[in-house]
Amino acid sequence: MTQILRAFAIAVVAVVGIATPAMAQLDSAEATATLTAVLPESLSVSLIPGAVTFTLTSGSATNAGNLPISVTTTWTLAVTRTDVALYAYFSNASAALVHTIPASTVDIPSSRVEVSINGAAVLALDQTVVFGGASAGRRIFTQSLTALTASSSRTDSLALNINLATYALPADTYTGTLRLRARATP
Amino acid sequence: MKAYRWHGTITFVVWLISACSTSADTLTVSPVPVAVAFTLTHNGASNQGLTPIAVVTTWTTLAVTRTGLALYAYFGSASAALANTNPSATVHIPSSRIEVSVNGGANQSFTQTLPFGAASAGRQILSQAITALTLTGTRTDTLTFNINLSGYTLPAGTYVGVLRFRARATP
Repeated sequence: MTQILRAFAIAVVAVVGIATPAMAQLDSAEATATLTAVLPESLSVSLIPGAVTFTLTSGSATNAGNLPISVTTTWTLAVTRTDVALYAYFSNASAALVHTIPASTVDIPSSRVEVSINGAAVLALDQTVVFGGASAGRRIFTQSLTALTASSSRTDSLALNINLATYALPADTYTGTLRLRARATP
Repeated sequence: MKAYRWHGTITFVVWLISACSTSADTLTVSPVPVAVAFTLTHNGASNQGLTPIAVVTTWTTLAVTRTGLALYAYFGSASAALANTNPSATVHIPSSRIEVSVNGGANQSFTQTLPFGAASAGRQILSQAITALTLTGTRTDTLTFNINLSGYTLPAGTYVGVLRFRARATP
């Protein structure tokens, strides 16, 4: 009996020693899943404040708006875009700000509305831009894009003025809508 | 009586050889589905994958010497786990921005260096002890994915990458 147990023990040790000494880790084959993420393009413009008032002086070149407008342009664009531009415009060059009294026929043309961009010299809204009426706009900025600026934002300050020098205007309340819009190209 | 004892011993030895053999054990991983889509929001921390992935890990007749089983998920690149499909793009989604929740647990990013894949581009999904009673088994784990873009500037575009799975039984 002792001999049998001894033989059995030797057999077990031998088998385990022979069968398993160099057993390597077992790896599965590689399985895969494809992940696809889409970040759509976006381009937005926001204004603060959304209203500006002017107290006009007849014949005066300087009739500044009571508040500057802070314009924030935000974009997330494809790397194929090379430029982004911001435009301000009225829909009608001859009547950017329209009289209120029905009997009046005189309005404030867009060429009399001026904008100072980030403190620079004032410029009339008399350009024909990609939006709005002919000769009723002004390009506020154009900025080149790189792969590193394809997603970004910027804020520009617009100070408005109404230049009434040599322009006869009846007393009245004049209102109009200045529109801003950005475009990425190509 | 002596013949009976030797027969029993030989039978046990044959079983032991069979159990210790490496030829029969198998280990497979099967993810379903094999594609996940994301719709990203600029700078958003939460951009969930539209569907979870159920990963089925199956093992059969592992050797009795095996004591552990692990499942790994990983990308081929840490810096560009999901690459912009536009060839001119230089900004991609790194693996550290891709997060996985395993069976509803907290999100964890793919920032571990594993036995497989690129450095700092993986995540160990599970680790399970193997006993004599679990030499054959299967388990299914649910993985939900998120792409965290908080504080990360990314151009608009389509980003594609391959997440790889592999299991390992040790030692």
